[in-house]
Amino acid sequence: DERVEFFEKKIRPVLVEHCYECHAVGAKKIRGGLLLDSRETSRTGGDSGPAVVPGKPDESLLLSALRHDAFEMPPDRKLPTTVIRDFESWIRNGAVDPREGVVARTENKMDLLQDRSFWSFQPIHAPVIPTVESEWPETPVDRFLAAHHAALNVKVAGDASADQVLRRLHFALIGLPPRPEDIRQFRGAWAQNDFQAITDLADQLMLSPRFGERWGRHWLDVARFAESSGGGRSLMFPNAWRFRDYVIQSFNDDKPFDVFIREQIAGDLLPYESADQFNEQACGSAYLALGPTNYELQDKELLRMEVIDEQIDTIGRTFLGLTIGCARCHDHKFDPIPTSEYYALAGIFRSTQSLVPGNVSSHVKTPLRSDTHARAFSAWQKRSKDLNAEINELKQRTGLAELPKKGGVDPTTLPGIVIDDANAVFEGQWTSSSSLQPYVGAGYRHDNNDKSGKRAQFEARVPRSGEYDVGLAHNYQSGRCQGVAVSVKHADGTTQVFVDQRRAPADKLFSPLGRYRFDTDSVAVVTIDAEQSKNGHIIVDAVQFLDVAKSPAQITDDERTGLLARLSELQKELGEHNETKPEPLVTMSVVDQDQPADWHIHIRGGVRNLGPEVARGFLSVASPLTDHAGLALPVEIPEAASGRRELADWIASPDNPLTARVYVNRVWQHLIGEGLVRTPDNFGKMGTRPTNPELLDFLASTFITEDRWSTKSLIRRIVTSRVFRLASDVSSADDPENGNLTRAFRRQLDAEALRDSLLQISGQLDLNTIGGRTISKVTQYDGTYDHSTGSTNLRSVYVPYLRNAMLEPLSIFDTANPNVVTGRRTQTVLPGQALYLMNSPFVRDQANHAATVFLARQADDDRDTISMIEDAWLLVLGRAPTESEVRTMTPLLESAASGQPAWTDVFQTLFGSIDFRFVE
Amino acid sequence: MLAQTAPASSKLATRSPMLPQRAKRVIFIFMQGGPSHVDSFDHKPELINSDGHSIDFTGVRFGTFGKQSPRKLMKPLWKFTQYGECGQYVSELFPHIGKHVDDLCFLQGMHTEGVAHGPSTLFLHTGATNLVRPSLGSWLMYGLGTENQNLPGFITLQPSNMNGGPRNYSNGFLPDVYQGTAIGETGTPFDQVTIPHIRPVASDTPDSRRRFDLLQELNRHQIERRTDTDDRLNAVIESYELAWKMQSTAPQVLDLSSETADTQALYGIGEEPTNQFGQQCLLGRRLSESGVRFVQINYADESPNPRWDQHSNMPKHMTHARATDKPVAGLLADLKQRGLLEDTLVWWGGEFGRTPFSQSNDGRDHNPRGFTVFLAGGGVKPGISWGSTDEIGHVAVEGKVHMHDLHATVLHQLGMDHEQLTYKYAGREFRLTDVYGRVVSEILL
Repeated sequence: DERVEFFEKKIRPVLVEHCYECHAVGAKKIRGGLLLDSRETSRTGGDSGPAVVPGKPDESLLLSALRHDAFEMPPDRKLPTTVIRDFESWIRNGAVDPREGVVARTENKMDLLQDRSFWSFQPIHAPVIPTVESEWPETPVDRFLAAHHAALNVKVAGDASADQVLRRLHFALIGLPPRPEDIRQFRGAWAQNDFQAITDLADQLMLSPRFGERWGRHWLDVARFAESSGGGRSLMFPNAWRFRDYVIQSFNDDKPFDVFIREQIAGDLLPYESADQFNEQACGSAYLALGPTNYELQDKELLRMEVIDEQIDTIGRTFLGLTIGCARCHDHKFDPIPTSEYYALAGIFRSTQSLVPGNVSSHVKTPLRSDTHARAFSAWQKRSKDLNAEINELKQRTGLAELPKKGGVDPTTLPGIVIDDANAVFEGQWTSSSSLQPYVGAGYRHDNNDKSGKRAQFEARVPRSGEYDVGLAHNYQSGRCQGVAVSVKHADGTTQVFVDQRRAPADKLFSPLGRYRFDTDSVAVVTIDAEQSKNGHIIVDAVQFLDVAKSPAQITDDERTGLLARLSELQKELGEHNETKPEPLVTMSVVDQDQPADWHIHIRGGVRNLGPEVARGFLSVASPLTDHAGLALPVEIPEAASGRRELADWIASPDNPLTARVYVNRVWQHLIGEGLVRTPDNFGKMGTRPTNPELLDFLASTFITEDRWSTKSLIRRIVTSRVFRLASDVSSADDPENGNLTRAFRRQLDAEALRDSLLQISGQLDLNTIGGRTISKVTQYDGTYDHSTGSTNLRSVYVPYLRNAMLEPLSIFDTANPNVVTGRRTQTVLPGQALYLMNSPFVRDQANHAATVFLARQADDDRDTISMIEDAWLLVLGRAPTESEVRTMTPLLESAASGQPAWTDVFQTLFGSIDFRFVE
Repeated sequence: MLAQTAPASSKLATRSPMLPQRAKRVIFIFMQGGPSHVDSFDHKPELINSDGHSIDFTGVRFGTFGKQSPRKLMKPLWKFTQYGECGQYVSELFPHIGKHVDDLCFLQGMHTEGVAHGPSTLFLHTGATNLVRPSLGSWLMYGLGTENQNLPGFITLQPSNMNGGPRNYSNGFLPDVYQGTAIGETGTPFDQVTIPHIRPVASDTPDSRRRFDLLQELNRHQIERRTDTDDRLNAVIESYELAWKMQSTAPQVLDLSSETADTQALYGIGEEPTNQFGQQCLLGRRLSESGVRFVQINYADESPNPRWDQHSNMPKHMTHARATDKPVAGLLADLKQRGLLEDTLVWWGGEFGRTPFSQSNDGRDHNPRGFTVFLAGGGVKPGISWGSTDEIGHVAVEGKVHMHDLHATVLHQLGMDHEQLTYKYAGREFRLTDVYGRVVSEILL
């Protein structure tokens, strides 16, 4: 057969040489799901549809790709035109292809029941608390660990010292070191009853507003909170602080975690009983709007899907510990999340509006409800109006009225009766324009220097019979008419005058037409007659009638001086008044779209590559099953709803196998140092398995049932356990990762705790500022934000958190990366940190302040160096100095040059020391 | 300068490359804003002939997306001349660079992603327009470690805070040790440009040495009294030692005064308008010479419409050309005369090019679909030009090199396979080139 020969000669070699690399079984990676190594697969095609349609070159994607239309294949260059013609004729002639069969290839299909057997998808059951023959356990938590230790026959470490436990508890609960008086008090309580001492102190610390500041920051890490977009043009989010404060307050209030979830995912949709509740919930929903977004992406459909992807992925990691975003382009490679379910979720977020379109788009803002604000605002508005009215009047009377720099003069701000050209009657073709300033109203008209049949007529009725000065507004220029014929019809007849429009009008706007008498019972008429005028462009803008009895000329110089003084007073007052404008209370948020709808799968994640539509829904693997095992219960979303509220309910449900596990693991990690699952944001197959699954489930189930989603109860349950009290200074050779939890984790101070500790020790920490907007100057972009302009001694959680302008010590000491969900911060030890501690003015300043405060307290006593060293150690390290430490420091402090500079050195040295930077 | 090497266990230890290494280091000269290729290196006689003609252009921006509209072609504003043995065309904008064309490799069929500065600038640096990915320099550090422990291995000189800002030299999800160190900001006078918190040697008084010794002694006591061993605690001591060394080394490297008058003159230092950028380029060479793996020299500012971004007033390109032409040429000459060009890969370019049609009368819009960059040294063929745009310089048509391909090629020259250089994050392996990228083997020696 000739056609087979054609295939073998002209087609097959090209396929083998140029296509098989990516489109044949055995390729390192098969692209686009397309296999061109058999007849059948060529015809079924890949993700985008049939590659070869016999007889129909125009429908064959293969040809389109070779022509570099639909795709550009091969990607590096276009094949010669002759080759493309060969393919065209081959397809036209029936695409004869002798390659039988399909090259074998394994497929992996998902099986829901099989998938649900993975530990994190199994329902949470309350495990039986083990009984153990040991004195060690203090609480049920400990009994799980003791059983684990007994089974493995491993030895648990002793308890840490009172000082160590106190410092640990302080940083864990409030992120600040204990003060010397706290230490003395706790030592006493500990000596009496260590369990009670911890319980009491934990309760006390959890009542402090410092608690929410510490735990709020942990949540802000996973909520990838920031106060700017971080995209190309990193736009400031001037209202993001409301979300920060909302989070802090929620922890201080011990808001049940399931409520906290609902408010963040669907706060804008929840019912409310008061304006405060509405506001609180709306602020929670800012969670969905805080992501890193490149608002200037020009492909707005791509931008929309990028935002949706960010929302889905963030929710997945934050609440479920799943990397759902991986399913955007293909079924998840490791976890049972098919692409169809990704787009079931995408439908919910496409039904949610998150973006306000524009060249550089922006986020949605929701006004908050506040009667006080509304009242304050209308009072402010009224005062503005009154001030402006009085200022205007004074300006008119003193002849100081200014012309606007842009646009026209509002006729209502002018004295007397002003009739704009918009209200005049024009005969003939006049041209509207606003090219030249000044002008009254929206613009003026000109005759285009064509006079035939053109007239303009202004009519007015005066409010009071008497004499009026009449004027014509026009701008001026060379080439204008030097004799515009204007007639004025007044009480005593009609007078014609001529206006020179090459000269500036006498009072900037109006050229005088003369003083005439007008009666209230007859109409005053001013007519511009082009035909009777001289050559040159005629401008007709407005006509003014000024009551002579009220004109500014009537005031004396003394009166004028008085009025001017009053005017300047009022202008000053207006300036001050404008500063006090009550800013509109808004929060970042999202809203449901008017017409929520299901959405399509995007094939291979392509923004415009739409596949079949999928019903909105959640992840089957974490949903309750129907009676017919193997199928997840269908999701019911009311008509006209996006499904976001239902999604929030599904996540916050006690039946969701992931939510409570993921959250209690986060809390455990913050208290103990590492999670029971070491990958707190990944509970899928690529995450680590729990080191103690029964304990995790015990905590998760009691958190739901007994604690009723109370974070404080959960914390109390953990910190009162003996495991919290373990020593960390224990050899680790047998179990370097401490998987068996036989000792405590030594922890590096995080950026916020480090900076806040420096400020507390130096006496500079501002504990009076609790929330509010801390960005000192709101600008469009964050890149050039100057942190030194604001309050510099705020607790770190309140420092403006800007994606492209992070406060230096926060970024140097590894604060969260706000572009991703950060359940566990990476902690580094780098020379840059050393340089900062050695040389930065900030650290030096704190050392200096600390020395000043410290020495001022010592002033009365003539104390010996050793007891002063002991005090300093207690203040900075929360413990007594060792002998060798005292020996190291004594020469410096006993040298002739001691005093303030020496103590500054001591404090800076302590700030750089290992025992300050780590918590035992 | 003597380089301090890191212990083998360190994340920064020098690692042997996967492939034969043709270049040990990279100097990237970033021309922020998108210099016009049709006015500089991409000579298009047809564009001159069809000056003022209309073409139908399909919009790529918000508001005009997908809509066709006529645009007026605008011929180059500057005359082109052939240079060197290779006969490469270079316009009057770059007479000094023109003298080096026989050492350069022009990629004239470049194309990239994104239409606005932010996305395209991020793409240039990280291979992604919106996601949070590590920068090219961080990938190099991750793959190869650093050659010099006294200096950071990835330095960006006077970068902009705009258009991605720090994310352009961020380590993304790679360990923090791989993040780029910014030296100075845009607009800072050069004599104030320094590594954060490095104090100049002048203040290396006995006082600071004594404080340093005191701190290290205290730290040693604090380690000794523990019964366990914890690498992190030793790392703290080590980090202070390195900081101290950095503090002694860096000021010498940053000080250009030890360079001869001839060398300084070569870069246009001491004369305007080249003084500032000349100093940046010379510092670039000094850092590179001292073992800094990736040096980025930024010609940048803090505007949303940065430097070369002439949407109107194309003649302003001349201002930027005058400020940079001689310094870049000086750097090329200096690297060559010191034998450094052999194993240093130089890359000059912007985030995209500019359209052959006009905008706002005398400007040009962004053009990610076709533009030119040039490479030099580092095992790349000298005196060649690879690829081309269509006859008016609008769209790359032959020898197309996507930004992913350029990334793959840079990694390849440094001895790394872009498909093998992966990092596991959030449950999957990530690469600089995502699932794309092809080494442009045609341009390699």
